[in-house]
Amino acid sequence: MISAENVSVAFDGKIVVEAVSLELHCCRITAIVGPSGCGKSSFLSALNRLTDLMPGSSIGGRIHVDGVDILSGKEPPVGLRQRVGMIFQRPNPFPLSIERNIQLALREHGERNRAKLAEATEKSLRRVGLWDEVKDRLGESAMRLSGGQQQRLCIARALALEPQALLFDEPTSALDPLSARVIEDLIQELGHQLAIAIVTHDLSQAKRLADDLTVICYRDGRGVMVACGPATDVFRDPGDSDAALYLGER
Amino acid sequence: MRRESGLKALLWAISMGVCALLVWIVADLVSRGTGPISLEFLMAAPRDAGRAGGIGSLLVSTFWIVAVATGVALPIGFFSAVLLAEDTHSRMSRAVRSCLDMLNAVPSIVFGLFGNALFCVALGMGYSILSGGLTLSCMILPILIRTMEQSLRAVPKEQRFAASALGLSDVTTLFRVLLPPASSGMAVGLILGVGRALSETAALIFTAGYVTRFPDNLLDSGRSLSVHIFDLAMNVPGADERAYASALVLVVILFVINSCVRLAARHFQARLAT
Repeated sequence: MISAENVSVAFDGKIVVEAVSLELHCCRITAIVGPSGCGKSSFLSALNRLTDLMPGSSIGGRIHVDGVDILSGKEPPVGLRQRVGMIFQRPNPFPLSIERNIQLALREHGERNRAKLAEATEKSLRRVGLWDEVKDRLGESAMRLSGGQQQRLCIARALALEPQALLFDEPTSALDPLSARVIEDLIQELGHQLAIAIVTHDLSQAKRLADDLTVICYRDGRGVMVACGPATDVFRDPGDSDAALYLGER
Repeated sequence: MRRESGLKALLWAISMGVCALLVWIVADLVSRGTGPISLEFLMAAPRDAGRAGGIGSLLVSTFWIVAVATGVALPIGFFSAVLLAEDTHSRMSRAVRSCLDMLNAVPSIVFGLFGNALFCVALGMGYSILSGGLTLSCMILPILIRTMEQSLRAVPKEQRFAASALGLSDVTTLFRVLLPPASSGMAVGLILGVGRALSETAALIFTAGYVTRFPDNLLDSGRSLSVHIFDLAMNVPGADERAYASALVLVVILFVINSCVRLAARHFQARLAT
């Protein structure tokens, strides 16, 4: 379980998003929506400390993963990112073979047994429905796959590490409608197995996928959480004028 | 539409002009320089100040000078480029970049004087292949570092994020994720560096010396091929044909190195990508 309390993210001392509190539970999908540039992606990146890679970034508030405060510096980010994976807007397979894309992180985390690596590869590719499409060309470059296939490979790559939670940052926005639908179905299926957070601009997608909904809007030049709760409730009654405007306008 | 085709024709003409210039130079070298070229020319040391004999000893000296320069500059350049590509924003990295750009613009004769003062005199290496190679390594470092850094920075930052999101270490990210797409650009940097080292004259006159015999070791003085061409063309009457022949050999060597580095980069890229 991931719990964020009053989290803020700043770059070079300038707060881009603040006062975000939410909980991600196993087998539930939480959608985070809001206008462009309001800090949704920055908040999402804070949940597995990917913000550490962004120069000048700092995180305020508290984030607990399974009860451990990840901002205290006690847990190295490497272990955290194994448990809390992230999928990005654009598919970004490594310039390696399909098989190597899955196995690289497994090898890095100590798995050397070839049979186990092959088993994990097949299992994760099956979980994303890619196995039948690529089983005869696992040695081929991942860059030859279509955009949708590449995104599923990226999800498989993250799943191979057996994470407890997956963070999706607009995972379908760079894909054609058909591929986007496949990814969306996959997220829905994974939502029965893991804790999932998804940042999206597509409110109909949020409606289709989300169990819980968080709305972040601009206030005083920074993103602020204005609504949070079960998705059906928030869509019916956001309880905030900015949230109502955003959800209604769209 | 007419303006667009006119612009296209102009671009074609300029491109063809550049190619024609290269063809002209090579054709000139071939027409004037093929006469003396033989196996003996490539194997023997020069005689009679270069009017007779061959360029064997100069090829050996050139090889060792370039080997020392590349052997020293390549690892330093690679790791410096990695450091600069990772640390894009700090004041220190910006200062280093400015220094490198300024160094890149320093005339080679200045490097020659510096190499003479430091390596030949202060460090007691005298006029030697080692002094020449080390001076050239200082000279090609800026171009190596900057091109390698640019190649690494050209890899989309999403790749770096993806690698970190999977908990990959910096070393794995560098060698497995960033290097394969950057390797062809880095190879271009290496070609530029080696090319500059091979064709350098001024810096070597002050550091590697003029001696035309086969070198016994790296502390022996040795004349590089480019210095030999300069000497034959400027100081030795009646050696023009041999100057052209030496220049032709130098161009062929550059072409071979260029092709080999590109092939090696492609092979390296394919091997890393599996």
